[in-house]
Amino acid sequence: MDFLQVLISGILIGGIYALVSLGLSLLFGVIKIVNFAHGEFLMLAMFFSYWLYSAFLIDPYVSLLFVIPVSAIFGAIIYKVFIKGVLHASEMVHILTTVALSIVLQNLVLMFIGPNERAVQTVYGSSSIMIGDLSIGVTKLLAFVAAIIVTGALLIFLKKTFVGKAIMAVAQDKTAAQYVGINVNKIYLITFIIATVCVSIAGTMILPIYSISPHIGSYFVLIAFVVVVTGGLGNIYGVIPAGLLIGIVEAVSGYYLPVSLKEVIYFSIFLLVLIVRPSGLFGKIKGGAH
Amino acid sequence: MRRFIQPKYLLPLGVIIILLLSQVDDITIHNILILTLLYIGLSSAWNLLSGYTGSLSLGHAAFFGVGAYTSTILLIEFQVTPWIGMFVGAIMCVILALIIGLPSFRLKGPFFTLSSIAIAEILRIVAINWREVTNGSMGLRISFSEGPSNMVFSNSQTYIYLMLAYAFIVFITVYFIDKSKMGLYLKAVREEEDAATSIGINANRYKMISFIISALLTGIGGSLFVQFTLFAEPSSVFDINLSILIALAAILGGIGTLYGPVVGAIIIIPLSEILKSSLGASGFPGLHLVIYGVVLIVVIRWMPKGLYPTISSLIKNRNKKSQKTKIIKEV
Repeated sequence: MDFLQVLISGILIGGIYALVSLGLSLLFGVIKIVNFAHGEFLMLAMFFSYWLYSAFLIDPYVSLLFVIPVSAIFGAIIYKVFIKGVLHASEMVHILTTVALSIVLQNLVLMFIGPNERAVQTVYGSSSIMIGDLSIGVTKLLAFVAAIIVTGALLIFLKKTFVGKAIMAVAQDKTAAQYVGINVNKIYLITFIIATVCVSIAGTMILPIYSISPHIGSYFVLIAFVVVVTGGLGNIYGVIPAGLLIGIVEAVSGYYLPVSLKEVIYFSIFLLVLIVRPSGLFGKIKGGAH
Repeated sequence: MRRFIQPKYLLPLGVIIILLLSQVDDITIHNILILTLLYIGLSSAWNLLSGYTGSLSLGHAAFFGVGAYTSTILLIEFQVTPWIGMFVGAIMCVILALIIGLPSFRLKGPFFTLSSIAIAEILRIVAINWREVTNGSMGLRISFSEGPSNMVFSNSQTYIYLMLAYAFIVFITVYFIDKSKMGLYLKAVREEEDAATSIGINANRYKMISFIISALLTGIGGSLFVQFTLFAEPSSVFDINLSILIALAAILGGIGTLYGPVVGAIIIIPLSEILKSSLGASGFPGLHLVIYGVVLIVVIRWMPKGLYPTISSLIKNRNKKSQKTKIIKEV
């Protein structure tokens, strides 16, 4: 029974990791940039939601109504000001730009808000559902459900709508997409906004679970990299199984080994996947990432 | 006059200025000098890998930390002098570079960068948790027993000379590689790996050699650094911000150029030290990092070649222009 409990908490955590990683994977698949500032987007969404909670007593889940539009605008601004101008440049420039962006955002928050950890106190924060001997945290379950809904909605959007199909076309072949009249710049902007909104939803959904500090972004961005690489960089379908795998590995290894070693475990998985199978564990690469 | 604004004249001038400044009896100036010289070495070593081969490492703190911890543990536990310890540390770094490099050079672009970050992070976590050897996050303290054999000195001038020697050795190493055939091979690999391979350059072999030399020199820098601070802790020697600062200095000055890291370190290190000491205490803990980030964004966007190449091409152009006007006047 113990093991089942560990497995379930691993699956729930894994869902959260998948949700956090979704936007990163989409960006790499379509725009072909690795966004090192991804974790800072998550952190900013958490702080924004926290601010709504502490200033106006808006419940974190309700704050999604504000987080989604604000993060869309934020994503558009970041894309226009920082990303668009360097897209033609080399990969090294992409990496350095997003690394720099991450440093600036993280330390601006550190400067103005300070390094202290904060957490929201909700009535449901520590409650859990009992099924037999198994206990399932309500907040984790909700985050898991959100992961399924957001990923599902994104996949349907990409498959069924015109804009979604255009995004997939750009992901597969930018030049060919341009030939058939798709405005690649516009698609890039839309993709960047979607990715930012996805990660912001993730940030809001995990706010009742984790306490926040300016450094939480660097914690999650590393996990997101592990998940995205394991799932296949650029393959957004791989995010869910990879997230679950990492979550389960973390929970199981946390059960048998000291918790402090969990990062070493998944970094080792990360390096192993990079070296043995750089295209990821799950399926072939979609979107023509080389 | 303009003839003298050339590296071969500026370098001896720089050394003279450093020696003069070292005579000023001010601990802040000494600290800034020591760190600047250290970073000239570290950035030049980083540049040898990332600048010359194009494999962007943001995990050089891994080698810095391995060098720092190896010499410190040897000194504290086994009373081995750091003069030997730093070379043992360098050997550890070479082994680490081999372990990382053999599989990682198959990885291109962001994958290499990601794995470099991951390795530095793994080592940091190991250093925090392997308490029996590293004393965990408390760090290791080197006892202050002065003497050349312990590489512990009470006057900071000695450290300035030590770091000057380090910076000089790293610079000379990169200088000779830059001027050798290997330098050409590395640049060819960076510009067009497939083309370079097709004319018979073993790209991975030369990348590996520059990675090994880069790691070794960074490790020695780590050993020297802890002999100066007398303190090695995971959060400072394996810090990702250290990796970023090393890269930033080289990028600011001119990535992939011989003098770029020197110029970059001379600008960014004193600046960040002054900022840290004047603003850090007054309630802006992350300000110097915000400035690193802004500088990085501005430089890679508008001056991707860096300061040194941009300025030196400006001077060349002006020389040409002035020659032209001379000719016109003569005519």
